[in-house]
Parts: sequence; structure tokens; C-alpha cells
Amino acid sequence: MRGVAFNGRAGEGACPYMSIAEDSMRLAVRYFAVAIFLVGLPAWGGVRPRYGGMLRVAIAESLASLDPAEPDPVKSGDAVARAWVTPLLFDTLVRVDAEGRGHPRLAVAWQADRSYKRWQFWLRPRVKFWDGAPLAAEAVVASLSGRAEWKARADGEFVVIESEASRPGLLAELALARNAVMRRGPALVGTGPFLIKSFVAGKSLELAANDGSWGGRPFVDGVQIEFGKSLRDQIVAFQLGKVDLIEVGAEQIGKVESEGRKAQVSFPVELVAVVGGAANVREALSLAVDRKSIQSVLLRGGSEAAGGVLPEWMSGTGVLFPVQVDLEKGRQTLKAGQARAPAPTRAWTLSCDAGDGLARLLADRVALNAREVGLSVQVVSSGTADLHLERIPLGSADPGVALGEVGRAVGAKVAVGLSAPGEIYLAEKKLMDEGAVVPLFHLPLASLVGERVRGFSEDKLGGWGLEEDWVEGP
Amino acid sequence: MMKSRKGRAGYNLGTPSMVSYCERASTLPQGLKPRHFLALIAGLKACAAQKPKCRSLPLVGITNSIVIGVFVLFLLGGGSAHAASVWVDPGRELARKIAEITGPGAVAVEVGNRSSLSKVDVAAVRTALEGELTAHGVHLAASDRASASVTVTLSENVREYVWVAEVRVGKNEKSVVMVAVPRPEAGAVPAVGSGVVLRKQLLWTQEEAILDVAMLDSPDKNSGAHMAVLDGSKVSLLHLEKGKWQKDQELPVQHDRAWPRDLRGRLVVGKDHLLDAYLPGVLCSTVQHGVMTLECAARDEPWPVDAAESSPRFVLDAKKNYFTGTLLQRTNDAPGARRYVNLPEFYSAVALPREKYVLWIFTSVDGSIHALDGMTDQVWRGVPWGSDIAAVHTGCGSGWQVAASGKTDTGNDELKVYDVPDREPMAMSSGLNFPGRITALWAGSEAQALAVVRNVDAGRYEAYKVGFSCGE
Repeated sequence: MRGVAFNGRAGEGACPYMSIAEDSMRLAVRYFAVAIFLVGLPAWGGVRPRYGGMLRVAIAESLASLDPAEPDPVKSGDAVARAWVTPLLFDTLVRVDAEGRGHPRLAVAWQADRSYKRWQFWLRPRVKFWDGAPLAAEAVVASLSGRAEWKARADGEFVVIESEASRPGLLAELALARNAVMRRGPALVGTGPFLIKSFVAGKSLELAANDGSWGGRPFVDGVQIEFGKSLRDQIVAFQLGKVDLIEVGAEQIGKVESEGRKAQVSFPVELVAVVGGAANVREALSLAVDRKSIQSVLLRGGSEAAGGVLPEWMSGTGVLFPVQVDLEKGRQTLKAGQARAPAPTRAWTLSCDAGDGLARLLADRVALNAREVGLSVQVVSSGTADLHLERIPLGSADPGVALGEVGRAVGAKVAVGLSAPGEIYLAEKKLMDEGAVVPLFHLPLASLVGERVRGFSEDKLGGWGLEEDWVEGP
Repeated sequence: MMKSRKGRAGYNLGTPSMVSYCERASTLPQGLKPRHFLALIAGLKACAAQKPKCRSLPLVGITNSIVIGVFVLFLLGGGSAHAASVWVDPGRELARKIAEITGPGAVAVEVGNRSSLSKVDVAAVRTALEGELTAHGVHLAASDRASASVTVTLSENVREYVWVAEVRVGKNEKSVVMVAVPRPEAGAVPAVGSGVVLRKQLLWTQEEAILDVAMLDSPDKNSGAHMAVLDGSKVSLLHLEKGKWQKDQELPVQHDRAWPRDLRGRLVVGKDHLLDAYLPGVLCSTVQHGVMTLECAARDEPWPVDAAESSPRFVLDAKKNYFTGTLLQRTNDAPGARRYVNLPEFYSAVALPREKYVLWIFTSVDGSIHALDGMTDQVWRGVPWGSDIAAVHTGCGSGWQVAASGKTDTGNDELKVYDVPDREPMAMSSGLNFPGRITALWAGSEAQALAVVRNVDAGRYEAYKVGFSCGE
């Protein structure tokens, strides 16, 4: 069973009858090697963490709400900021790592029935909300209720989640930020390592260490986060020593590293795609865009040309979604479409986020390449457009759940319970057809960490574990 | 009183069909598993039973003695035998899927590798694949003479290998079939230092942070070695059987407060009872009333950091990860008399016996190293030590040395031995590398220490017994 791990293993060898997840525990392959190479290395070997100090963080996206579920982060355009901020405040029942292994958070044990339609969770003892109220099964149920996907109920000290469909990937679903556990009311109350000191929507957030955190008090006294800072402004503030942790755009990674700084780079976890348009237009566009050339010029360091929705590290089936340019085939595809459904030649409009410099650059290159096959594409920053250049966070390392997240973003339905590579491949193809998705690139999340920060280690999915960090000096 | 979680130890109970869970180490060479043998045997047996269908397999026609011989080679880790066996089953599965589409006849097969598999492994996969295809009546042919073409790509994701076959029969649309193949375990890395030679032996691994491990003397010398492993929720008692540690019992640690984030703990073998477990603000002791239990009380009991019974004890800040600097030391003023001494807050301390005094060395929270001989407090700065040190008696140099954690160029931690002949530390060994950050280091018996490493790659904590001896 994938996505589930064991908790005990004798040393000096391997357990003879382990699960697939356990088998795959040792990566030792290029992705990890690449990640280590790109991410850089922790700078505090052998030294224990110290207490005290404030971490100062800048993020490009503006966060209007701290509620990880409202509005829907997939559609609100602040999914990355939410993915970074939510774990600082709120806990999920479980965490799922890049290899699909589940790890305990608020739940310490879980069990599924044979059909994966009924899951039971044992809650961690002695967990308290920020206001001192103990975490009970009822609170978890209240937080997870109201979802169409499942029904949650308390069964004594357990939480039971039932669904009509088989959900072998439920752990990965529960690990999504929008499924974090909290008490909603006049104010949000969580169990996370930090509590809210002040929040100015869209501008700033100040967090204080939660002394009663079940995982132990964070090492730093607090975190100050500024939202809406452009990547350029972030770099300047970083160079002036005004912030300790900033984002690095995918297009900046190469430059940052050429300057001798070590960016922390995740696996590619964000899909850049053109969404919309008729099937023959999409196919022609896919054949026209010179992804590898654009990648080598604009996106050095951790990005990948994408022919499919899922990155290679997640699916292993990238070979089935080629990214080679084939202009002749592209022209023929357009002609064939025109022959089937004659229509006057027109210019297609392609929109992108006006505030996203990289999206604009990519859209311009897409429009340029499209001309090679006879497609006239005009890039617009606002208004209704035929095609949209979207940046869609995959949200999960579980390929089935990641497809579901992309489906939510483009308004296409994706079946649940997918796990075998063959099933994933078919669902991916279907999503590209029904969601009108032309994948172009997979981008990593990247960060730059100041010299006074110790212990920072961005995980392979780009998450920050700021509660594990500590700072030198005040 | 915390309820026992016996019966649901571990956070994954799995599905009802997989509740049984295994904690035993295999007796196979690292990286090999019984199922690999089973796969090999099954494959060989299948061949023996279906000789006509297995003509193209490399092991066709082998006798039982040859099977045994191959098995022995396999046991000894013979590279090609290993490679072949691991890939036989998935190779056959993929071949069967391909053959279902192509049917019997002439087929052109091309195998490409996009994964981290070695050339030897790729060759083994190809052999298994072609053998099974032939068994299904497929004749391998050049593309210009074939009625179907198959492109097999050996790919991978972070969890498993994914072998994809794109099959085109005549001018039909391309079909795709694939199999997922679990990754074999990575091998162990040998570790030897120089000067003072350091050797590490993996004792135990688990997902929850290991805080300390204690080797236990058994009253019955025939019963083998025993060991206790401390983590934040339990003390696990184990015994050695046929070279592998078997878990006997888990004793839950009862506590009301949340632990500090960088949790530390210490196991001390008791005189009149089995064990004491020191945790932040909590002291637990084993009690034998028919069955053994662990009784815990909220107490800021000073911790021993040294194996010597007479050594001073230190108070750990119950909410943090360091010792407060308040030292409770026995004196010779009167029997049982003790005195408090104030020191800088520190992470770890060692006592190095000298001819006329004991040199105490502390790794303080501010990053400096303090060396106290009872008269002076020397502060060393720029010493490349981490926060954790342990005293070891190697007999080399001045007899007692300091084993100190430190970082390596790879980002992982290492352990290195330093002599302090005349107050200044001097490296006496090369670094013993570990596969992650050292999260605990405690002195053991004279020439041993216990090091716990957080292996980020494996997502587990690993406890190593480190031995120190005089080298060349």
C-alpha cells in the first residue's frame, strides 16, 4: 500500500516484508542528488538549535485571509503563500512527504478498511489549541466537515472519515493545507507552532512562538512576514539585511546561484500551462512551443519542460508526453482542424497575471512560437481571453491528489482513488483533454536564507519548517 | 496516567489485511530481501517446470545443483545474479502485458533507460523481458521485418521505477502499458577513521527520535545481549537473537507537558532496578511487579552526563535543549555532601581524568568551549566542534580524548576524536561520517559512545554504537 509507512524497523538490515513505500524509502537517485545539489546544505552541522530572536520573511503573494480553506486557494491566486503560512499556524492530521509516506501530525495512528472508504484516526494526546482548550475529536470533525468529498464524525476518541468512493490517497488529501484543523469563530484558533500576534490583510503578519505547541516551542520567539513584496524588492531587502528569508523566482535561481548564493530549491511543484482553446489549437500550440529553449534561456535551475501535467519525479511517465517541437505536424494539425470545422482565421488572445513578470515573459514566448505554425496569438493582461497562461500549484506529492488539484484549478473533474502509474497516466491524459490544458513547464519553489538563520531546510515540496529554525544574534 | 498504546504501536496500523507488522531485521546482506530470493527461486522453478516456454531465458535447462549454486552466488551478493533476480518478476509482468497486445509474431523491441538503473541492471531487465516475450510466442525481429514495434522506457519517480512500453501493432494507434517496480534498498557505507580508529555499528533505526540507547547486562550469560532504546514516548527493551535485535517490551513514558522541540533524554542503568530514564522535567524508573513497568514523575532531577557514578550531575532546562549550568557536585566535606556550582548554560560536558585533577569541558550555548580544571576557566573559540561531545578512553595519547560532532563538506555530521594534551585540543582521527545530523551523543563504556543520527534521506533516526581504538 503506497503512502503508508511503518514505525519500527530493526537495524542492521531491512524488514523482509515491507510495503512498497518502505521499499522506496531509500531514494539515492538523481532527484535527491539533484535536490541536495541545488538546495545547498544546512550550515549548522553538529550544533544544537538556540532559542530566541525573530525571523523576518518576505513573500510576493498577498494573503487576504489566514483561513486556509476560504476562499479556495486554488482559485484565489495565493496558494503558494498559503502553503507556506498555514503550517506555521495550523496542523493537519497527517503530513505526506515527497515519497508519498504519511507521517503523524495531529493523528498518531490511522487505519483504513479494505475498500479505503472508511478511515479511522487516533488523535495525538495532550494537544491544545492556542487558547488552552484540548483538541478533541469533535473539534477535528467540525473543522473537516462541510466537504463534499467525505463525511467526518467523532467516534469516541477517534475521528472517522467515510466516503462513497474508495480513497487510498486520503492521507495526501488530508495533508493539503486547506484541510488543516482549526476552530473557526470570531477568530481562527489553531494548534500550530506559532500563534497570530497581528495580521493586516494583504500586508503583514506577525507570529509569536506557541509555548504550548505539541511539537515543542519553536526556537525563534516569532516571525514577521511581509506580503506583496515584489521579487525584486525582496532581493534588495535581503541584500540590505532587512529580511532573513525571501522567495526566489524560478527565473532568478540561475542568477542568484551565479552570484555565489545557495538558493533552497524544491522539486518542481508548480505547473505552468496554457488553458483553453479548441483541441487542434492546443495540439498545434503544444507542438510549436520550444519549451527546452525557453527553459534554458529563462528558467535555469530546477525547472523542467513539461509535456504532461505531472512532473517526472512524481509520475515517471514523462516519456509519454514528449516536448519536442514539430512545426510541420503543428501546421498539419491546424489545417486538419480547419478542414473539419471551417472558420475565419482569427487572432487568439492569451491572458496572464498582470503582476507576474515571469508569466508575461513566458506568454510572450508562447505567442512568438505559435506564429511558427500559423497561429496568431496576442498577449493581453486583462479582460476575457481565449487562452490563459496559468501557474497552478500541484499541492501534493501524491500524483492522484495533484491531478485533482489541477482539475480544481481548471474546472475539470478528476476521479479519486488513483494510485497505479497506468491509472494516473490515463487520468492525466483525460485531464489535459477535458481541462483544455497544454502543459509547458514545471517550476520549483525556491528561497534564499540569510546568514544568521540556522537549521533552515526547505523540504522537497518547497515547504518551510520555520519552527525548526533558529537565528544567530538578536 | 497515560493509557498504554500497546497494540497500536506505531502510527500506521495499515489495513486489516496488513495489520501484522514486522520489526525484525532480515539476515540477508544489506540491500537484499527474501522476496528477491523468492523471486529468483520462483523464476527458476517456473523455468524448470516450463522448459519449453523458457528457452530464451539465460538460466534455461539448469539443474537443481546449478540453481543452488546460483542461489549461493546470489547470497554472496554476486552483482549480475542480484540484478537479474530483482528485475525478473517485473520484467516478466511487463512482457506479458506487451504480449497481450502484440500477440505471437515478429516484434521489434527497443529498450531505453531514463532512470538511475545501471547498465548491468538494464541488461538484466532486457533479458527478462525478451525471455518472457519469447515464451509468449513473440519472435524478436528487426523493425523492418516486424509486424509490431515496442519501445520500452525504463523510467522512475521518487517512489519507484516505472517501466513504460509503447506498443504499436501495424498502423494501429499506439497502446501504452506499464509496471511499477519498487526500489531495492541502498547499501551501507563502511566507516573507518585513522589515527584513533573509529568504527560505527548500526544498532537500531526508527522513525521517532531516538534519545539514548543503553546496553544491558543480563544475569543469565546464556541469554544473549539486551538493549534499551529511549524515545519521547517509550522505552523499548530488546534482546539479541541470531545477530538481530528483537523487541521484547515497550514501556510507555508518561508525561503531561509537551516536550521541547529538540528533545533530549538519557538512559542510566540502575543499581537495584533496571533503568532510569531522564527526560526534560521528568524522571522515569523501571519497576518490576511481576511485569516490568515504567513509573514517571515530574521532577527536575539533575542528569548524569558521564558514565562514572561519582561524576557531577547537571540540570536540563525542562523547556529547552540545554543544561542550565547549575551543577550539583558531591564534595569530600561529608558523606553524601553536595554543592552547587554555576557554569555557563551548555549543551554537553565531558570529564577528562588527569593525573592530579579532572579537566571538564563544556560546549556552551553561545558557541564557545569552556575548559575548567578547578582553578581556571579557559574559553576556547574557533574550535570546530558542534554542540555534542563525549569522553572516550582510547588509551592513545593522554589516554582520554574528546569525541566531538562537527559538520562535513557534504552537510552531514561527522564524529572526530580530539586529544587535549596541554589544554589545546588536537585532532587525533579523521572524521567518521554519518548519514545526517547527529542529534544525540552520549559516552558509553570507556572506548565507546552512542551516536544518534537523523537520516533525512530515510526519514528515520539511527542509533550507532561507535568504537574507538588506537590506530597506526
